[in-house]
Amino acid sequence: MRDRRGNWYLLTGLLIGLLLGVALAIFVIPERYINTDPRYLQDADRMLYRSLVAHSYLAEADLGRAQARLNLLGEENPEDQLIAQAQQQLKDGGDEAESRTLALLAADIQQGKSRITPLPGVRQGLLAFATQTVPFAQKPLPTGSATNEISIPGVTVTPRPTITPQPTQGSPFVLVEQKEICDPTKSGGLIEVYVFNRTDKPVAGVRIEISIPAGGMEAFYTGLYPEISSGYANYAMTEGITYNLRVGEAGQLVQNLSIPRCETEDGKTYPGSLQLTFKKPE
Amino acid sequence: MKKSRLIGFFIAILIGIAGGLMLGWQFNPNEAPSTRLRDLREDFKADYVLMVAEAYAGDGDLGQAINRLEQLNPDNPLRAAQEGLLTAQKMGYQDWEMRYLIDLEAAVRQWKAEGETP
Repeated sequence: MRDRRGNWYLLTGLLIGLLLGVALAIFVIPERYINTDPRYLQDADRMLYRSLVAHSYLAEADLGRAQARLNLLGEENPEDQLIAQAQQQLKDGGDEAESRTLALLAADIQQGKSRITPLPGVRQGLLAFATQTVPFAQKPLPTGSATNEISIPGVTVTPRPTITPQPTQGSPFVLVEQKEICDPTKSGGLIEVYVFNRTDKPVAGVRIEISIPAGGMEAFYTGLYPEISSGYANYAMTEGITYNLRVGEAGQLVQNLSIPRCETEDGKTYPGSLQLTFKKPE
Repeated sequence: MKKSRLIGFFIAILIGIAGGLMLGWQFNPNEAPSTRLRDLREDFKADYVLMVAEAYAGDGDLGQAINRLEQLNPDNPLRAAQEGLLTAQKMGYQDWEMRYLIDLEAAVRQWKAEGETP
């Protein structure tokens, strides 16, 4: 009788084990990468990494290197991610200087040129570095891991530079067109801002300040809607409030902006939007 | 169930679990990246430490620099700085990069010596 039962119990055990193993692999001990590259970083660490790239860029002013570092995250449009992070941090009440740093890097990537000067020590190093073309990602991997006994190389400590580079101030953006948008198919109530440079190219990462006469100010940046234009940004107005708006540092102040009233053919009114176009003067 | 069958049954389950784990990891890879900065490869960690050093050179904010190093080694940011320095040295970083790394390491070492109050 025992023999007639055969070895089906082994197959049963194997199947139970397989199901348990798959469940464990998916729910309990999911795959984890180690000794890997930044593209596998989780979102919170990606934000830290992006932020650090932007801060490092302030010191180095090396746009190519900053882009190479961001490319390690494997994102299609790194500048959009920078803008989104800057915007998110502003919304969350985070450090404004941090957001500006992110936006500055995004804008420089967008424009393809650096607008800052490196720290003095970096600048001198870069002169020598310019003759070497091996990017850091292609440098050979170390052959062994760090030992427990840390011995520090005997290089002389040099005084740390104290000058913090600032973005160079360009001419301010000026308002070239302001119009009301009446489209009953859209919800309305928006201030739509388009920012262009001297050559009519849209500019991402430009800070826009909006304030109300009674007090209070908010800031947002162009570039969050690349599907519309990289120089586009919008702000949702509240009915009955008048706003003042400034684009970029020391830009022209556009005053008394409020939701325009539009009218349909049968006389009904609905909220429209405002479209403002800014450009760097020639 | 006979004892030998019972043992065989459990061995089959263990083999099945091993196979199931491999199947699960192979065909259902973790879609959402879950790697932390401390899981980065050594050369990427060194570049991270260099970025921390450059940012510290720019803003002089040691507390921020230590917070960033703690992403690599939560218990010992000094060790993170030192390991970055060693890797950078092995990989032939430029002199000016080494200077920033050394400055950072020195500042963190001093912070640690003074009782870890940035």
